[in-house]
This record gives sequence, structure tokens and C-alpha cells, in this order.
Amino acid sequence: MTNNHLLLYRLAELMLDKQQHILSLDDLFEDEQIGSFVKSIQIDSPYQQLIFEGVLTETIKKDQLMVSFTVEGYFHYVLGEVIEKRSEGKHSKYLKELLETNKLRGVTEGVEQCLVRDVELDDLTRLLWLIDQGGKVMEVCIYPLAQAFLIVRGKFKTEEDREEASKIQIKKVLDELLNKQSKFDIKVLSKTISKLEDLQLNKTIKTIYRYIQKKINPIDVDTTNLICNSVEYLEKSERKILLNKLEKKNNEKFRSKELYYSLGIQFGFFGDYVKSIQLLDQVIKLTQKNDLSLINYYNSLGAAHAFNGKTKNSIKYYKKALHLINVSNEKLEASKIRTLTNLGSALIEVGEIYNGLDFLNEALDLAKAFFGKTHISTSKVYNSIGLSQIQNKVDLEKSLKYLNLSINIREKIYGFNHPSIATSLSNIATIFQRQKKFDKAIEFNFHALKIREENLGKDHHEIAVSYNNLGSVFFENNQVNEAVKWINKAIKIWEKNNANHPSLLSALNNLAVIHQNNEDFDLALALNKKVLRIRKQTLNKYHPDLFYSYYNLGGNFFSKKEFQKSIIHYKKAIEISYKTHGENNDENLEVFFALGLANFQLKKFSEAIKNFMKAKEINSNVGGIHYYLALCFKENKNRSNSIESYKRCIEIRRKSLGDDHETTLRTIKELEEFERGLKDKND
Amino acid sequence: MKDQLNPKDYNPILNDFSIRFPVQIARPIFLINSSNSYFTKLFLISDSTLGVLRLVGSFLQQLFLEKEKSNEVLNTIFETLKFKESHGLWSSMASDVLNHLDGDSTLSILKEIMILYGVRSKSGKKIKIKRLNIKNTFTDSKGKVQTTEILNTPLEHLINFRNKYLGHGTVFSEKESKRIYELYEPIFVEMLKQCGFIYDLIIHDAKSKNKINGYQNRCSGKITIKTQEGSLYKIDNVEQLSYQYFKPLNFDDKLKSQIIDKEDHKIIDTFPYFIAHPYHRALTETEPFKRIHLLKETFLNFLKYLGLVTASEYFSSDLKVKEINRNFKDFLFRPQFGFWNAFMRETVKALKENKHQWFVKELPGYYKKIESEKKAKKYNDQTGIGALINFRNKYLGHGMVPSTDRCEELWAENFAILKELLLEMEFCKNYSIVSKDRNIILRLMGNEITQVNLKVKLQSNVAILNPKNEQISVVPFFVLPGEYFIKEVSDNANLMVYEQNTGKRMVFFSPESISGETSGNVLEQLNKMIGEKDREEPIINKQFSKEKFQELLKENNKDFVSGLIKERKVIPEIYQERQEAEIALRSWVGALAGLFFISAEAGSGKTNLLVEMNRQYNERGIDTLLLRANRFAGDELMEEIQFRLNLAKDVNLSKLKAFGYTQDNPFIILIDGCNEHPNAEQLFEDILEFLNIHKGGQIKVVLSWRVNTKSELPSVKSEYESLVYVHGTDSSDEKNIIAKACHWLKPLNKIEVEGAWEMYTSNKKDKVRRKPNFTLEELTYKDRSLADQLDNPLLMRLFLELYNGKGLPKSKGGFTSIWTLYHQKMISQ
Repeated sequence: MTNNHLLLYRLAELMLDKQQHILSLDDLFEDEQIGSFVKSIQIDSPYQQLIFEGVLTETIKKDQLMVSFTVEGYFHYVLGEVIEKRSEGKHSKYLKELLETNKLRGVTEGVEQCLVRDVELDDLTRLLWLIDQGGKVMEVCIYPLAQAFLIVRGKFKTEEDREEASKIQIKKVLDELLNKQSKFDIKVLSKTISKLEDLQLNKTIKTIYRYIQKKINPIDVDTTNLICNSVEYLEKSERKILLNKLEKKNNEKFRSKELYYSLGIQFGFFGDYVKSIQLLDQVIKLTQKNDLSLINYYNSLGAAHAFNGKTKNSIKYYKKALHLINVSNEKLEASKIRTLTNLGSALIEVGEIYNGLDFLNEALDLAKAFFGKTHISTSKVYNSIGLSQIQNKVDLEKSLKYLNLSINIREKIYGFNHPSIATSLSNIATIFQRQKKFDKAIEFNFHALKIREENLGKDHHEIAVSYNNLGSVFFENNQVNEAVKWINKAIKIWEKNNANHPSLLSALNNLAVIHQNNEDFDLALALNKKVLRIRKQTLNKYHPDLFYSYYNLGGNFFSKKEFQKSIIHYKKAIEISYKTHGENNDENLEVFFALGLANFQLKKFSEAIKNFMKAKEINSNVGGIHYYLALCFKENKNRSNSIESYKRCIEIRRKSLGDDHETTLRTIKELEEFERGLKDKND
Repeated sequence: MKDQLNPKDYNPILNDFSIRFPVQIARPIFLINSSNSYFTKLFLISDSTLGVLRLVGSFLQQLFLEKEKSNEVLNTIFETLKFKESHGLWSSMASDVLNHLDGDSTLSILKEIMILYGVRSKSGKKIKIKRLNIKNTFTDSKGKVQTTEILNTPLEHLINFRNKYLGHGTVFSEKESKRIYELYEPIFVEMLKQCGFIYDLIIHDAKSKNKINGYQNRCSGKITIKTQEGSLYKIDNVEQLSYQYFKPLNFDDKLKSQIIDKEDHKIIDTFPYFIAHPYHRALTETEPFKRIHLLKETFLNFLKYLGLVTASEYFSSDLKVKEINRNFKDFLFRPQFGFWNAFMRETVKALKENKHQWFVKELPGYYKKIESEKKAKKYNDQTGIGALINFRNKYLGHGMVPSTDRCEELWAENFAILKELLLEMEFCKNYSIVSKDRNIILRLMGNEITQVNLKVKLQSNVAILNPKNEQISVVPFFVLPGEYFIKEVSDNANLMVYEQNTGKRMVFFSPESISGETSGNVLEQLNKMIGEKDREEPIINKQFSKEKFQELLKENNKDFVSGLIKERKVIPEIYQERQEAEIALRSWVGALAGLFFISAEAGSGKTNLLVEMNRQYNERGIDTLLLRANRFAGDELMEEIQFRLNLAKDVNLSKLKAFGYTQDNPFIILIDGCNEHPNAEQLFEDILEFLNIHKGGQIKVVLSWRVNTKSELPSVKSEYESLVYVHGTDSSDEKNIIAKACHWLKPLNKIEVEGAWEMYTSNKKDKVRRKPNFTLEELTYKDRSLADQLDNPLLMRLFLELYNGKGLPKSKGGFTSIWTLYHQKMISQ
């Protein structure tokens, strides 16, 4: 021991003996080991140095000089060393007695540190004995046990070697822990896994769970629960079989709320949302009204509903969770962030974009403060905000920024092959699609698909999402056959899982657009009608998706020359668009223009003029609007307005298409003929 | 195994060692045998031991580095050893390396090295560690000499010997030095015997290609070591392993006392005994190393003269100056060299401000001349005192014994400075220090103590007389040994001079190098004197004006903050804003409820927040009083206010209304860490009663209480519930009003952590650098559990100091505790 070491060690030792964390300096003078250090007043003496460094603090209390460690955490650390040495060769009972009888403030932390030291020396004997004592004594063992899982000994040439050593270490610790398995072993293991989850140590957790599957039998609630939580690390084919087995066991034997919950989460994870909802409903029924666990349960249930396409239901549960958080006086930041993120995303999903964004922004502020900007929960909020920007069509660059922030965090935490990375990749692909960068969009979608195929079952919802997205991009890129192929693959999965899922609608919608373009108008109309019907059932009255349904149907009827029906649907679309996007939106321009065309076809020129004028208000630089205005004015005998509109149209087309463009020349020719006709008439 | 060693003549064996061992070990051994001074021999034992530690340590370090380079803990120790070596650190490094090399079978001498360092084998090597028993004595608080027996390896004994006897600058008498030397000589020999494995190593100087064995040899510091197995290790440690060729001493030139000139005689004959005596000892000392120690001793006594005479002036005067009381406690309870000067600097200024009439009237002018005036800095831009303190710290702390030539040079250089300082202080001869021992009056001036007849009656046992025979007492800083000390001390010392005080015991040292401790009357006298100075005439209700009140508050708060800065709990100008809490504490000012309760989690920065709020309140013209609950004298707030502000019992704070304090413009008391009070619940109850008496919001209390959960919070009687300010809207079913009403101060959130990181890493005003070569984000991705520990401002600061200029922490896996890193640094010093 160096002098400083000896001094610090001895001080902690005396504190442990005297059961007080502050000592009279005078008493130390006579200490055989450190008396000479303490007595020395030379600047370079160990005691004076430690005072100068701020490690120790001297205070005058009742006219006497007293000394204590400045920082408790460090005192606990040194105390750990003292307890380790003191207990050398003694039975673990010594530590238990210390915990139960020594009144020194910090003795618990000291014992915890002592156990960490044991673990670092690869000796788990005392730790395992203390775990079996249960209660508070067991609680002291959680941190050291986590440490035991994480320590890797030896030198490694590659990261793979290190990982392999880590797996061996985890197995070794679990073998020792679960040898003569007690209920406390399982309890402490669950708590240790939670601790590791808090720190996002996913590789370690994965190895632990994989080994748990081999080592633990579902003999009671705790063991069954552990096995249930480990299911995601099983081979894909075995997951559902095991889950069904565990569910059966719970129903028949335990009827445990905790198990219902774990099963609900796992079923949801593997895409069986109906089962998940059913189990989570059961959990909530078994939970008391004011139990704060409900916050978690509501969130999980809400998420299951959302995945199942019942976003409105999910909102109901998220709001319940938020209410519980708001009336509670506990520290619930993590739950609040989760709830706000879920609620914000769901509201955006049903079209309440600004409301949803408010919640998301609140979640982001909280997440940055509570988790920090590099935490997975923060990445989830980034992802949701990025997604909302896409849906809101406000700012794609901003959206890309948020999605990239999200993906950066996920890659660093989960590695490059985690399903949650696929979600962000898929969202980024959507942005590229919007920006007409189809190659990029296809690349990102395939990347997302690959990750999902490797991690999820073949009928998983997320895989269908990837198929549908690919279909959508191929279609926009004029690769119609490819598009139909992928979209049908998606529809097949969704129809198998749940006929009303919003994503299914999106796929049907995409297919309808393709049929429409192929002039298969009846097929397109039927698909669009189906989509509208389901959307009406699931979405908010003014959801933007309803706008698209009405707009598409308007288009279908127009193609079938059923102009009156077409006008009704266009008007519905405009009503929704006014609510969601306001009046001067590009979407509205298209609808007004289409509406004008329908009225034009019905020879309702004055109505048509109103529609075109509305479109012109939104954007006066569209040549087509002026062209049809010219035609309508011509039909209404308003020659001067007609000529003026022709001229404006030509002017725009010259700029945008060029003087020699066919359309420009044709418009010029039409105007010349019209003017010549007028002149002839006058002549 | 225990071995009791008997005294015997070790010279022949030491002679043999001085020829056979490498020069780093051999040279000090040779000097031990040739030195006449036991005092110097003690240091040479230490030097030879250091030679072993350096040589074997460098070898082990090289062995380790060739096998493994990535051990961060050991690498830190290797670095530290380069610039701040110590016996203990070398030994601890070697033990760590040996534990790593334990399983290595390629080095046949590994077992012997493990025996030397007392390292047990975990790989099955049979190692018989030899431990020796040594009897040590110490004086207990009752003045009794106690004997203890300690069992240790020879090397550990020698490291402890170094720490116990040599690290602290005491110049032992030859008799005492001989006793210590004879106690440790056999242990030293035994340790050297255990180093026999060094003979099996073939050590060559890498430059000259010669062997380096023998005291006369030299070494460039670059060496090669070849083991019996034929492995070759290259070591490059010029700083610690180089040695020049031995230059035999010219006994005629060197080993003689200095010429004593007229001026020296003046000092020896006329200056106070405790300066004159060591001054004379130094001049007549023939051993150069001991001589420079005596020079230092004389200098220390010179500082003591200045400090203790000044302290005596104050304690003999009618003045009661809080600042001087504080200076005395801060600097002279446990005075390091520099503290004497700091005490003088502050106290002379304070006495001047308080128009003190000096008894030794030349003293302030003298001090100004040698320390404060521009021209005082005449020794390489240092004052004489500064230069001598540096000399002491540089050469007489933990270094090796300088060569004789170097000792001579140091003497010449520093003795001249001291002499100049003393000659300027000639006035001291006119202030005789006298003592009264029963009926005998002694004059403690000059090198010899003489008996005198005094015309005046002495009012204390030791006093200073001026030419007019006026006197001031210098007790209890100078006392007669016969009065208070054990026989062993009183028989050998003529005068005991104050060295330190713990409040329960006083330590003295005599000019004859005798140390003594006492806890009897003399301590009572000192405590009484301090108590009287502290006990100012309390301010009675009549004198209690707003201006006086504000002045007292300011003084108290200044003390409070400077105390925290001293403890490094607060760093000036570094504060991470706690927006939520600050807004709440600002918004509350005009409320009717008088108590703002802050529940603070561990490390949440409650102290810094209160200090900052105090600043903000003052900035807004609100008067405040800062208090720390763990420093309360009793369990009552009013009593503490009276004590801190020195108010008489009749002062009633209801007078504060008349001072213009209102609900909107209140007087705020900030109490830090109420839970740390021994009777926290009782104190809390009293605070509520206090606020109940002063209802109306004109007096308010902000109180912080450290808790982990709400269940640990104190409860409030229903009649006091209205006194508690309800922060925010709490609609929970919580029944405890404090749990419902409190502001929950959490550790730094992540945004604040980022802010604090930025502030600490970019702050250039603080001398300590805290700029690692990585960002917080990089750390978070590398080790989230470590990054999560930084939500405590103090830990953040420590972490950044530990990693200043370094890359990301390496991890073996597992949680990295910040304390492991901190501990490593602390014990490596």
C-alpha cells in the first residue's frame, strides 16, 4: 500500500469500527498505522495532501478538529476495500451481520463494493450466499451480479474473440447462480437483467436470455416470466410454439398478471396483435385502479392497438396513461416520455398533426433532459417527429435530419442489424421517394427488408410494410409490374393477419392507382371504395388519408365519365383538405383543377370558372388553369377574359416549356384562330 | 515466521554489499558506513531502499511492458512514478506487476522477488515470506509512552520507517537518530540479503558497456539486464538510475563547521533562544546534510517567532477581530510552513486595520520590509521567506540525500538568505523572552539560557519584556517543559515551542529537537483564549440596527462561502444553472408561507444551488443568512442565529418588521442539509416553530434535506401546514405535506450535464485543467453507465480532472466506477 492508500484505508476502517463517518483528529494521532501521517503538518505529508486535494475534509466541531471523507461515494468505495479485507477468510455471514447490525451510514454501499471486488477477483461464493438470504441483503447483490456478467478476462485479438469470452463468462456466472436454484436466484436475476436493460447492454442481455432458455424450467411465475421474456432470442420457428405453451401454462396454473403482461408483450413483438390485446386487456382487468403499473400497461396495450390498425383505440389508452402520470407525484419521466411519444405519433396517424407534434416536441425536450441525446428513447422520439414531418409534408429535409439522428443512435446502440433500424431506414426511403430519388428509395427499402427478414417471422407486419413500400416506389418509378408484385405480397400478409389494418389500405390504395393508370377503372374504383370504407371506420373524420380516398374516387368516376359523382367526391376531399392543410395548399390546387374539369365536362362553365379561379389563387403559374379558364370564358362569351387567359397561359408555357414546345405552339395557334375568328366575325 | 534481531556490528556485511550491489543501492550503503551522523544515516537507509525499489521496479516494469501494454491502472502508475515517485508507490507497482507475472515460469528469480515484496503466489509457487517483528513506541494522549509490536516484511518495515521518521522534516537529535538507526539497521540488512537475486542478474551500462556494481561505479541510467535464462531487457531511466563516479570526500575541506563571523555571533548571542540555538547548532554541525536540515529548522523557528509573537500580541490585546480568530484557526491549528507566512500576511493587515498598538513595535514594519515591499523579492523574484520555503519543499521533503557538494551549495545559498532575514530582525534582541520556573527566572535569549534577576514580577510563566520592562505573555505558545510534559521531555528540553493543536491536544517542539504533546492546562489556556476572542460582547437589542444586521449577515455569508470554497464544494464562477429550481425559488419570494422545502437527492448540487440563490437574492436586494445544519451548535434556529451573528438573548427578530422586511421583501435564511444535523427532526420542528412565531412572510426559510425517497421526509403537524410553501400543483393523495409541497431537486439532467461538461472543459479561470480528448457523446456511446454517473457536478469535475488530456477510458467490460479511477489517482500520489 502507498501512504495515501494506507491512510484512506485506515480511516475507513476506523469509521467502520466506530460506526461513525466523522472522526476526531486527535484520536487518530495515536493510531499505530496512520498516527504519524495525521500528526504531520508538512505540506507533502499524505494526510495534508489528501486534505489539499479535497479528498478529506477537516471541520472544527465543538472546538475539536474532525475529519471525514469529502464525498460519500468515494468513502463507500474505500469502505468496500476495508470490508473485503476484514472479511477475508470469514464466512459470508459476516457480511450479513454487518448489513444488519453496523450503524455506519454507508455500510450497505460498502458491502456492495466489497462484493464487486469479489466479482472482479472471479469469486462469487459470498455473492451467491447473500443472494439466497433474500430481502434487503439480496438487493445489495444486484449491482455486483450485473458486474459479474459484464467482466471479461484475458486479452483478445478481435472483437469476436471478446464476444466469445463474454458469452463464456455469462454462462459461467449463470451456471454458478442457478446451481441449486432458489427463488431468490430468479428474483435477483430478473432485477439484474432490468439493470442491464436500463444501460442498454443488449448483447449481454441476449446471451443471458439465450442461456436462460436452456437452464431454467417454467416451474413458477418468476421462472416462467423469465423464459417468456427470453422468447425473442429463440429461433423464429420456435417462438410462437413456446409462447402458446407458456400461455397455456399460465391459464391453467398461475393466472399471473405479470405473466399475462409478458406474454402480451411477446405476442405483440411477434406480430400477433390480437392475442397481445387480449392478454393486455386481461392485465388491466387484474390491476387496481390507482396502480402506477397501469401507465406501462396502457402504453403497451395502446401500442398493440396501434399496430393492429386501431389507432383511435390506442389514443384512448395513451391518454389514460398520461392522466395517471399527471396526477401522480412520483418521478415518472421515462414513462412520460414513452406516453407522450406514443400519443403524439398516434394523433398524427389519425390526422391531428399539430396536436400530435406538440406532444412529440414535449417528449423530445423531456427525453433530451432525462435520457440524453444519445439514448434509444430519444431516438424513438426523433423517429416519430421525422415521420410526422413526412406525413405533414412540411419539411422533408427536417424530416430527414430527425430520422438520421434517430438512426445514428440506434446503429450505435443496437448495431446495424436491429429491426428498429429497419423502421428508420424505411422512413428515410419514404423521404427519398417524395424527393423522386427512386433508386435511393428502393435501396433503403431493400435494406430495411433484409434486416426485417433476418429478425422477424415471414408473416410479420413489418415485412409487409417493406413489401408495400417497395411496390409504391416501383410504381412511382413506372415499374408497374414490379409494383403489383410487391404490393400483392404485402396485401397477402395483411389479409392473413388482419383485414382492416391501415397499412393494408395503403397497399390497396396503391394497387388502385395502378389499375386506374392501366385504365382498369372498375377494378380501381372497387379497390378505392373498399379503402374508403375501412378508412372511415378507423380514422378521424378529417384524416389526410380520407382526403386521398375521396380524391382518388373522384378520379375514378371522372375516368368513367360519371362527372357528377366525381364532383361530389372532389368536394368531400376539399372539405377535408381545408381542415387539415388550410386553403392554400398544393393538394387543393389539384382538387379544384379536377373539379373544374368535371364541371367543364358537364358544361357548367361558370362553376368551372369558379373552380379554376380558386386553383389560380393557390398558384397562378400553372398554364393549364389559364388554358381551361380561356376555354370556359370562350364558352361563356367573355372574349376579352378568354384572350387574356390564353395570353397568360402562353406566357407561362413559353417560360416553362419553351417557345417551340408543341403545347406552346398549339396554344398560340388556338389563340390566333380564336382572335382571327373574332376578327372575321367583326368584319 | 518471526525473527527477533539482536544488535550487532553490521559494518562488514554492509561493506560487502557496497561493493557487490549496483551503484544505486551500493553508494548509499557505503555512505552509511562512512558517515558520522546517525541523522544522515537514517536518510541513507531510505536512499538505498529507494535504489532497490527503483532498480528492481524498473526491471519489473520492463518485464511487464514486454508482455502486456494495455493495463491502464499500471500504466497510470508508471506515468506517476516518472514525475512523482515515492517508496510506497514503487512497492505497490512492483506488487501489482508480480501478481500479473505470478504464473510466468520463464524467470527463475521471480520467487525471490516475490519474497522481497511479500507477494503470495496464486499459481502454486511455494513462497516463504519472511516477516520481522519490530517494537515501536509512541506517546499517548495522557503522555504515556506505549510500545507496540509490528510484524512486517523487511521492505515494508523500511517503507514505513521512511514515512514515519523521514518524511516530515524533524531534525532528530543524534541520540534519537542513533536509537532509530539501530532499530532499523538489522531490518535494512535483512532486506538487502533478500535482494541477493540481483547478483544473478547481469547488469550493464548501455552506454559504457561496463558493469554498474560497486559504490564507486557510475551509471548513465540506460542499462541492460540479462537474466540467467538469457533474456535481455533494456531499461532507460536516466532520471532515476543515473549515478556519477564516486568522488571521495575531502574530510579536511568538508567535514568541519562553518566559520562563525561577527554577525553570526550577534545572532547566537542576542537572539531569542529558540532561534539562536538551532542557528548555532547549524553552524557548528559538520555533517553537510544535517546542517541544511538545521538551517531549515532555524528558519521554521524564525517563522514561528513572527507568527507566535503576532498571535501573542493579539491574544494579549483587548481586540476581538473575527478575521484574526479565523486566521488563527485556519492557519495555526495545523500550520504547514507556508501557513505561518499566510497567518502573518493576513493578521498584520487586520491588526493594522484595527489600529493595534504593537508591543514589538518594529514587527509590522519589519514584516512589510521583508515580505510586502517590491524590493523584498530579491531572491529570483521571491521574497526571502518564499525562497526558503521553496528550498525546504524542493530538497528536504521526499527527495534523496543530496551529494555533499550539493548540500554545501544549498547551505551557502540559503543560509545567506536566512542570515539576511535575521540580521534585519535585530530589534528582537531588545525584547527578551523570559521564563519563571518556581523562583528561578531564566532569560531565554542567546544560545545559552541564563538565570537573571528581574525587577518586575512576571504575570505569566513565559513572557516578552521590552526595554521598559513592560511585558506580554507568550503562553501557551512558549511553555516550560517541566510544567506540562513527561520527564523524558522535560529533562532534555529547555523550552517548548508551539507546533500544532487539534482542539484536544497540543504538540510542541523544542529548539533541542525534542517533541512533546500535552492536553492539560496549557490546552485549556489556549482554548480559553480562543473562546474569549470568539466571545464578542453580544449585540444587545438596543444596538441592533438594520445596518448592523446587514453587516453581520454579510460577514457570516462571506465566511460560509469561503469555507465551502476551501472544501472545494463550491468552485467560484463555475455553476451549472438549475433553471427549474431557481425559477421556483425566485417565484416564492413574495409568498405568505415561510418555508420552502427542497428535497435533494444525493449529489444533486443542493449546496451550490443555495449559494447561487443567495447570490441572486442579494442581487435583488434581499438580505439573507446562510447556515449549514451540520455546523449548528444546538437544536434551535434562533439560538444558531444568535450564535452566528453574535446577538444577545434579548434580541428579538420581530424587530425585523421595523427594519422594513415585509412579505414581498423578506429576510431569507438558507439552511443547507438539515438532515445532516444530529437531531434533524427536532431542528426541523424548531424551524417550524420559529416560522410560526414570525408568521407573515417577512422572515422566510429555504431548507434543503437530502433524501432518496419521500418516505424519508419529515412530517409536519397540522397547525404548521400553512407555513409550508406548496410548490407546483400536486393532486396526489400524498398525506405528508412536505412530500406534497417540496421542490424535488434532482441530479443534473442530461441537458444540464452537457452544459456542465461544456463549462468545466472550457473554463480557463480555474487553475485545474479539465479537458479530456473526447466528447461527452463519445463517452456515452462507449460506456453509458460511466457517463450516467456524471449527473453529479462533483463527480463530473473529478472525472474531467482525471481524464484531462487523456483518451476514452478503456474497459475490461463491466461497469467502470468513477471511484476506481479516482482511487487509483489518489493512491498513486
